Amino acid sequence: MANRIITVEIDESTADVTVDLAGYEGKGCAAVQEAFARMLGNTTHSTHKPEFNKVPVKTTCIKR
Amino acid sequence: MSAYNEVSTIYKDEECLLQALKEMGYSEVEVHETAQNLIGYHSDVRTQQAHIIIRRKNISSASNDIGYFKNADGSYTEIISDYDKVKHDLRWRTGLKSKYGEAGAMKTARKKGFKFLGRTVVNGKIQLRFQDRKAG
Repeated sequence: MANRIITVEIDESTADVTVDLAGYEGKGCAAVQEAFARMLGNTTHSTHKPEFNKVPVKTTCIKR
Repeated sequence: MSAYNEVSTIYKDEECLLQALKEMGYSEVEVHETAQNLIGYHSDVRTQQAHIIIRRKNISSASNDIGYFKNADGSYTEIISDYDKVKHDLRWRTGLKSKYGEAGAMKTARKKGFKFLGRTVVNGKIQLRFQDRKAG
């Protein structure tokens, strides 16, 4: 199981919220981000970590 | 008579808004299914209505009620008089927003089944950490 850590940071001087998702790939990331945005307000800025676009490697063995 | 102003907010969750208000010093707050009229400084019934109301007796003797009207989209509009904006200024409202953000993040994480790892405050920034233990 991947170690997926969510860090929610709230700036006390502006009340701006940043949600950092580590260890997620693709759709799972978007679903978590959307859940927090629904509660806390619209997303104004979003960036992806390199692992977001990681495509799982499928290995196939062929018997000869 | 102090004029009321209506301010759009990011608040969408009643429970989290009530918790944030409590942490900002207002534990006695009225919650109504149907919006009720706000009462002014002279005990006059105002035309403005709200679903969540902080009555003036819980603010100060010279205050008007403060209200939060629930809109059709679920968000709340804050209704606050010019007079009360002095005490409930930008700094107070930012504090309320921060408290709401914290309560909202905790509620979202609970709903998603995340494990709470801890809360820290670094350089004026509150950090809440969670672990998603679901396989995926």
